[in-house]
Amino acid sequence: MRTIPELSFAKSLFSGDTVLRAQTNSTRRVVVRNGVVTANASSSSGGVSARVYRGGVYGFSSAAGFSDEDVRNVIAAAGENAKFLDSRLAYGRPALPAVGRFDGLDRPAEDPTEQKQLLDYALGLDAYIAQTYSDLLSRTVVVTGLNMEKCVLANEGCDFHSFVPRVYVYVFLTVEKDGEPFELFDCFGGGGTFGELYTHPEEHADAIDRLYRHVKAKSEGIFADAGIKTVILAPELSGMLAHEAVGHTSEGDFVLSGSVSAHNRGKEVASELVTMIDYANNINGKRCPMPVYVDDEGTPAEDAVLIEKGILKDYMHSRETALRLGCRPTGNARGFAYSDEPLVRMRNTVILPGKDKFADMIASVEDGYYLLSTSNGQADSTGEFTFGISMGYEIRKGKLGRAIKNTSISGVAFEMLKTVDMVSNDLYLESNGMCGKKQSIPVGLGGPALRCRVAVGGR
Amino acid sequence: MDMHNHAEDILARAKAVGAEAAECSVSSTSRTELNADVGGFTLMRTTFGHSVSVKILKGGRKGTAATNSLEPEDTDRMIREAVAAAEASQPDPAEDVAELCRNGSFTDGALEPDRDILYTRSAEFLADLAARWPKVSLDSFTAVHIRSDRQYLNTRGVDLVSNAGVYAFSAMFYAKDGELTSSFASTGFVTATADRPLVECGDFAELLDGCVAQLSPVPFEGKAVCPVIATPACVEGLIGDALGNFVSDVPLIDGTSIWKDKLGEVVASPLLSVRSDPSDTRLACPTRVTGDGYPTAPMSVIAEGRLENFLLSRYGAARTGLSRAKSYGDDLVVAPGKTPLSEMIAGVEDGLLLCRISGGEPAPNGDFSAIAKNSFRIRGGRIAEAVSETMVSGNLAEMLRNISAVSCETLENGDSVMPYIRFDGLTVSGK
Repeated sequence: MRTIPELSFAKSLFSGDTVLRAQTNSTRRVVVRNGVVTANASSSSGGVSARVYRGGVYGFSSAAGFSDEDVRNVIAAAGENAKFLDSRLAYGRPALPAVGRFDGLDRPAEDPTEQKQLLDYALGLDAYIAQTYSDLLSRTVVVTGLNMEKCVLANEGCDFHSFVPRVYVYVFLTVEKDGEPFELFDCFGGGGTFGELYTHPEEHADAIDRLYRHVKAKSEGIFADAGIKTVILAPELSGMLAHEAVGHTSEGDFVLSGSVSAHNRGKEVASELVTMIDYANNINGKRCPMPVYVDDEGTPAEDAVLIEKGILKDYMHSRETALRLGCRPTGNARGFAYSDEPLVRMRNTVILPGKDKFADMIASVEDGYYLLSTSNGQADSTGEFTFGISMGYEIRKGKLGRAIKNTSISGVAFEMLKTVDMVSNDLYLESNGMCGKKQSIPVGLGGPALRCRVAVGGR
Repeated sequence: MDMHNHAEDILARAKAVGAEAAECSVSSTSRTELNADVGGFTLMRTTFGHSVSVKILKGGRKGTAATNSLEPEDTDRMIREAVAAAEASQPDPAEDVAELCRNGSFTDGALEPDRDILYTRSAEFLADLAARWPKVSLDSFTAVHIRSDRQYLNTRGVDLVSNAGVYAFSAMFYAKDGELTSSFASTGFVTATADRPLVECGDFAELLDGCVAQLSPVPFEGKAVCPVIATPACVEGLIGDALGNFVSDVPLIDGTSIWKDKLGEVVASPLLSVRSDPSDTRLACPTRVTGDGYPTAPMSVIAEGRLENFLLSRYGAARTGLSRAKSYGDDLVVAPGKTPLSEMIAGVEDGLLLCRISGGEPAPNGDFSAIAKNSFRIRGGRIAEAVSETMVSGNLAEMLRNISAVSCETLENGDSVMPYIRFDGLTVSGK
């Protein structure tokens, strides 16, 4: 891929408010299913795109290449597209706010990983599982990596070269009970290259043993009792809650179209124990799992405080949503592929830890559930959220009881967050999921354990 | 760029480095797209890209690699990556490339975009929205013409070409009235012609009406087992989940499918018939060539409740010893029933009209629970209040056995054809 100095000639071609992005996404993927390699693939997809703002509308164009000609073509086509819309609509809207300068490269764009490393690791992990657990119906190991390298050049913002690698290992175990399959998965990894994150397959032995015990317990489990329940959400779930329940409704474009957060700014929307921040690139000096230093509009990224001690404080913004809502751009405009226009997206949405000890939280529940892991989640304009629960246990008189089968939980965010009355003193961070909003994009999220009341599905 | 020559060159080079078999897919995609939101049009986007992938078998070991570049050095790198991956892998006797069935070239839809049609239909939709549904707020709207060309070639002589161009319209919206906000609804429509106003297509009008009625929903009280009538859009999701869990490659290869021994047996109500049918003329852009290099053909999956075929790929068939499907479930058509929707609703004393579900993925055994969205209570045979915070729980396999009515009306959205279906025995719970 070309560097910023190699692309800087393009600035002389910019007309008006223009952003040029060169980007390559490289992926690797290995799947070992019951000892057989069923996927063994690498891919690379890159090119250049340009976006031109004109009177309140955008023109965008992309090409699958990095040549001078590709650069010239996309800048010209984006300008033509903006002109086409502007000539028909004539909105005459004001210019977008300018942003500060912050030029550089966040980390070297180097990854020496070879496909064989992923294969050997996946096969080694599969062999360990096969040797250790003889009663599995099925086992699957997936090793998958995504490197995103971008150069952004903006005449109203920064020029920035970024490289964000991430690698995850997923382990799926399935057991059979009375002819019915029960599956559970866990994942390990985060931001970094393969060599930075992994050494040998047995490093996950404890986690896999825990996964095996959970899936066995689930196969003996019961259906949850449907209704409103007191639950302890494990830290792995509170990040999903932050993302789905509050994050989406606080994206500037969603606010503009009238999401539930639009008329709650400055109001109490959660217990005073709840503080939620969409971090840009570091938490207390530590690099976030999905760091964004400069977004895809050339805006230097800042943390966005969404909820502070229960009060809804602010939203996440692109330059346009900031203009239209009278706020400051936060650097949340991101596109997944070179051919994707930037949208307002979350980065690392986190509920801050509190002061409670996890054991005390379990002991405090007379009749409820401890919910450990989730398969997926979704949010609504009303703030109603739901996510699938793939592992959980009853809590009776302060002690963990029987496991429960798959279920879903739901609630209305700004009602449910007011029921949070205990927050653990630890913090879990991850970035293994993809968030879907026209484009699917990696996001970071995290949080502590929470005690709250939600609707639990069941029979 | 000559896609055939490019693919042929890649296969020749794969053989030159020792591949005993190889396949190559070269495709190009161009998009002409308009976006709008609550403030009107926002963006016009034109993109053009390629995708090249190669699969190499060397010593019975598979390696695959892909790039979006046609440059010689990137092509070299892709072949090297595929070879290195194969050499590092393990032999798998089930791996191969498609055998020659029938070569051919397929063309569907409007290959060239008409920018004015795209703009006119979109502007008309925004105007209709403002005039007929003033309380509806448009979160996002996309109108796009997509041109896709694909060349598949392998070392066993398979040579398949598909060219297609369609217009696709999608919208996500919700109703606003003061501080009241409804749940969002989203829908889409795919067409080769774009010859009608969007509000007359698919379920746009029905969902826009429903959205406004959703401004003051009422939570479901307590817990009950009651009948549920699922809308066609909801049926599409449920049937898709069931097929994914019970008749597709992964659960059958792993042995986790609860239908793995049910071929030829009754698995659903006799009212249910499901086909994967690329020949259905109501579909705007059917799949003509499978990803693994076979021309598709119409196929029955479930006929009057009996499981007739699995949706197995070549690899899935080789791993399980079962037959490869003629079509892999992309173009789903569920046969209509004989009951008018009005009669189905009139037959429910207390239940739900389920328009969308939001929740976790179903478990391998089919257990699921999800929130009812954009949905309504049915009381005394009539559609009553909109519901919120209402959970629906059940099991996909049991649901398909507990179908008691299928509507004679169907939704044709260009992607699939689906009726309304009444399911009995689901648990509905609320506050």
